[in-house]
Amino acid sequence: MTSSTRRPFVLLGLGALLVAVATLVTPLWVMRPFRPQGPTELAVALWVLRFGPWLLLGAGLLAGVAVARAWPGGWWRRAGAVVMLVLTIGAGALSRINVFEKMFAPMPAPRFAAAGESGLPDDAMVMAVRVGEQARGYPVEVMAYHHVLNDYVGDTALVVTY
Amino acid sequence: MWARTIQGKTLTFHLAGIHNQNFLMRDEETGSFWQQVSGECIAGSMRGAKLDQVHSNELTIARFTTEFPAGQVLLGEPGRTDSYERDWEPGIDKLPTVVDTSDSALPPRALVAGIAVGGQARAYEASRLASEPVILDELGEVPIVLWSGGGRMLRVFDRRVDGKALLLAPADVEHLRDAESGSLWDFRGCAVEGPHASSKVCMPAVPVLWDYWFDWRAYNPTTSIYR
Repeated sequence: MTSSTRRPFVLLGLGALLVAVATLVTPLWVMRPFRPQGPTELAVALWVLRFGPWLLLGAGLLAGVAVARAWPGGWWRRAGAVVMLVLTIGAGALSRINVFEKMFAPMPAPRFAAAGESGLPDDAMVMAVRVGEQARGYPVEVMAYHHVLNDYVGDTALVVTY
Repeated sequence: MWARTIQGKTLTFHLAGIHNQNFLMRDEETGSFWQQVSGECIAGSMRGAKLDQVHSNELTIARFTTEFPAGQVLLGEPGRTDSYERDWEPGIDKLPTVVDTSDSALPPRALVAGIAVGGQARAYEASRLASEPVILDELGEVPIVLWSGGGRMLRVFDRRVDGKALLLAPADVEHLRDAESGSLWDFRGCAVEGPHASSKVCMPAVPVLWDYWFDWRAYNPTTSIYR
């Protein structure tokens, strides 16, 4: 085995790992709190989020090819390529987690009650909306945590945001 | 609050990002990204589309019950009551801001009621609304009345009836009176006594956005400040 065949598998594996890590890190880094997001960096972060699955597919294939190339070269090379494959898959899997929904859990099945049964004091604030004959109040204290709620009031599909 | 049916599709939104201390949402159906504060799509196949705003008000539970006796209130999730805070604003006030507002008259975290109507935007400081609960103003040639019911309970109306601007002043805690007809108007913006009451006139509501000054100004760069 010459160094010219060793290098491609190392490069392929590292390239795959780099793509997966960039897919994981770029949106988190750009959209971390308490810093401004410039238009270009935001566009890049959103692009990575949108096309992340394709980037990860490419990275996975690359890492797979690296393993195949390393296989005839003995145990050490096999182990090295497999470690890079596993790390690539790991970074890819982590990048599929929506950290914003981990911090602020969504409310997929909202429940409602009459105001008197809500347990809220008279001076608690709600975001009030009326659609036709139906009115709903979304307590500010609840929405300030969940931030986004998909709801129907009558036949109208609403998204409540705070 | 936004209607989430657009171009024939009903979208399901998720919290998905931050843009200068404003949240971004992503919809499941098209994977596009939407600015929560403006309803605008900024990336993805729906880019350029804008959600229709649905009029909403911040009201106390007491006021909500009075106006909508059959109204329903969203319940918090039982496991998360620890995450719900009623007095979170003092904590938020101390957080840093990332948008430079040093060239303007207000501090970045000044709480303002933002109004955009008639092609113009104006910010009304919360402290000003507290000391002056009824304000008659004109914005982009639209005569408006701002009526603060205490705290963040604020309603704004286009005060034109039959093309003429009403001159409204407080009559009692619950009502305004217009100078010309002497009709009484309640907090819903509807005439409840006097000549306008018999024709059941209600003034059209104008949307209000409670926001921090830095954020309001970022999205309304030409905004003025009510003085």
